[in-house]
Amino acid sequence: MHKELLTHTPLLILPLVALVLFVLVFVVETMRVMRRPKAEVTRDAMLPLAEDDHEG
Amino acid sequence: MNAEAQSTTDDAPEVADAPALERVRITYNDSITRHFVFASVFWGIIGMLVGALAALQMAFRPANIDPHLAFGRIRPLHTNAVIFAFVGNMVFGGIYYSSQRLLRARLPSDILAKVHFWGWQAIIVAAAISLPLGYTQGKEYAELEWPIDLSITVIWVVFAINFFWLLAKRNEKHLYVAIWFYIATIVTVAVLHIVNSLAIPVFGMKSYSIYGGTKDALVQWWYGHNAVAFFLTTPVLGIMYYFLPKAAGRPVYSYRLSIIHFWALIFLYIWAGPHHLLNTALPEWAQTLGMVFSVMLWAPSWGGMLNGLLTLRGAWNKLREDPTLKFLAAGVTFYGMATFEGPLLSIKSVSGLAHYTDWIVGHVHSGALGWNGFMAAGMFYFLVPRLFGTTLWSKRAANLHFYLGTFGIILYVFSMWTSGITQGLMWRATTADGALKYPNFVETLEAIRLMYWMRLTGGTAYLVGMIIMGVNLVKTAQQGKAVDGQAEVTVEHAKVPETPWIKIIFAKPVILVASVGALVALFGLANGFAGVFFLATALFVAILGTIALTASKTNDPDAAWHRIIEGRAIIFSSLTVVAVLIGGIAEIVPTLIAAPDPKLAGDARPYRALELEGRDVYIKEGCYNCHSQMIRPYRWEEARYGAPSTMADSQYDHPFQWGSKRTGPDLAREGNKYPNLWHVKHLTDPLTVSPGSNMPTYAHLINEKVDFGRSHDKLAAMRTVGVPYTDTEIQKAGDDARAQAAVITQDLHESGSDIPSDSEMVALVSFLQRLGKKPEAAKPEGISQKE
Repeated sequence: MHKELLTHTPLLILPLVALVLFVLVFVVETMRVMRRPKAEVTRDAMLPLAEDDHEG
Repeated sequence: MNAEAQSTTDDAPEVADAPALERVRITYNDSITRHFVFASVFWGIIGMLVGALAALQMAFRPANIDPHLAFGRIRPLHTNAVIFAFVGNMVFGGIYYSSQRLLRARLPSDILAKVHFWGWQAIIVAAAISLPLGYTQGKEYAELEWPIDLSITVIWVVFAINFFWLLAKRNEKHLYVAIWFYIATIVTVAVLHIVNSLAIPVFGMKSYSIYGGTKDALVQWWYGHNAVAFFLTTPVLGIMYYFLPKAAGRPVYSYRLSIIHFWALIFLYIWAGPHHLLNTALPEWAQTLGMVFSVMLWAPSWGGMLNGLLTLRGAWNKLREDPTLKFLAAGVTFYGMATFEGPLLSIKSVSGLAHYTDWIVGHVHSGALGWNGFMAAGMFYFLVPRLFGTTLWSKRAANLHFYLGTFGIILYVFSMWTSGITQGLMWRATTADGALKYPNFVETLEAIRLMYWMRLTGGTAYLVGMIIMGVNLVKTAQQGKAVDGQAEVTVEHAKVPETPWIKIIFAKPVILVASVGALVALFGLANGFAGVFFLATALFVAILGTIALTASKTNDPDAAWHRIIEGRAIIFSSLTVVAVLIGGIAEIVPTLIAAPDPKLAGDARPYRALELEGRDVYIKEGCYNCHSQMIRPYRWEEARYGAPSTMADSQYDHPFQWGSKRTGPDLAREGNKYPNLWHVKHLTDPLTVSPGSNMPTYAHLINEKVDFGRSHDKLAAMRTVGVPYTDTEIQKAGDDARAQAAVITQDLHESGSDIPSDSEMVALVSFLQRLGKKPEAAKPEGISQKE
């Protein structure tokens, strides 16, 4: 199949490479994110909740 | 800079090797947010007013009262105003407000912020003037001519400098996920705008795209789709991740999911552009890629949508009282609806029914009005009371806005769904003997007229809601006083040693991904056993590497790799660019450099000078907004329009004019279907030859003159972008144009119509008569004899 895809130019391998890279990065990233310490994640998630202090 | 920062106490702990800490009070630059918010409201009302006029013109043809305000010129004005003026200003305001707070630092340069604001408004005004005057590149959502394009680039760079400067001087190490979306927006929009806008200026406000035909189509829709992705979606997602938790008073449902959402979305989005070109002359492999990635896009989109909605868990009761939450929740819901519909429409068979119809218009507006419009409203109702130290002037008015807006969207979207599916079914309907059931295109238009009135009603309801919001926000501002937020932040004077670049670049995750990528590339390039070997090795390394990485302990430096890059803005931004560019490069580069099929290339002939002038008139009048030039390979299309379009048909079209909507019929093979006189009558008063038509009158073209003295400049510019004109053809372009015009004028005279031979009408007729035909090779030396 890859030969048919590459009939016109060998550069058509690029989408194939990119797709594999995406799946790989996605899997690794997901696994790493899921194993991130909860305290760290909670701290990051709270960042938008900091309030302004107009009174100083 | 940072003149508002005031040092207070130095309570840095006296511990060896520990960074010196200082508590500092800063005042945020909220003035710039106030400017952008009110500019957004103003342009939003203007843009939607223009949209309502366009909707009226679709329902009621006489509303095309003036050539400058005819549908073909108004539609780009509407889209540009809503996308770049309304949403653009809203996004800038939201980014400036949230970034300063998330990064715990004041905007570095007030001057750059002002240049950004006023520069952007000047660009909008330039667009509002130039588009009705007919200055357009003829590429959807990228119509603005080259001087304005250059201005956009400069102002975008000013914005980027201020933003990345803010990142550099921030007092919060971690980059919250909203900032990631902003980074992706800034770098990707820059790439998209520059690549798609590359053009050769001919003179003042006229240029030709460097890309032609299929290549231009691919680049344009790579841009067009990702303008939606990275101008209308990613920055608004960043705004969602900041303002939704803020308004709900609770953190985002899953911060982990937001990280996965980000990377998956930015990687996948960039691939999806070709779904705008399904069943066209675009190479099949590119169409398939676009379709597959569009369907994949469903997952991260819904991940983000669910993350947003679930943030409201336990806070749904607040929706009854809080207009901000009401709008944000509805906005996220509409995002979910639009991102469900998008992948659905990207399936080739569904696209076969929906493409070129009003279904696409309905889809776009469910996103624009529901997602962008409601997210903007939610943000404004949250921000304006805070920016003026007061409370919202009228909650009842905000609630009225919400219900009017929701009613408007529902009416708009349902009418366009109905209209689109009706069009799609009528276009393809055949009788028992295989003939077209509705051979007259106008029949299909008549069938959906009511839907156009419903669309106008829905759009008007939404516009009224916007005006109510504008009044409410102005009253709110008037009852308060402009105040800038303040916060006490901790500044580190001695920086903690950072992980060296070399360790980040050669970290295990990077090595794994690079190795697998190289092995897959080798698989593609190798034959036979070697190919199988490389593929097997790639799979083996990928699986083993993934297991090893996920099994490593969390205190391993490599395990914390993502954590490290989250704190390194430059590396993070670079990786974002890589993730985004992979899709663009993989799709576009093969198409750009692939050698054209010699059989097809040999068949094509460039436009003659007058035809090119006529094509410029076609572009100026925005004909592509209602007419496609791309016959898809369906039996019913072939029966109605002729043989399916090929790559060669538009090979020398700079820019391509395939279009995306058929309010009128396809014109790809219009040439020689009707006599010259028919075209003149049709353009002068369409109803005389096509009763029931929606087309505006173009009688003014009889009095508009073509400057044949500039024809050679146009041919020369075309040759620069690859159209094979000879020196003689360029030198004698004016003569050739006059000669061809004389022939058409004579024919019209014999038919009883006298029109000046140098009129734009004659040029446009010559172009229309050329469409889909293979003219004789140009014979500059024998022009007079031939004619």
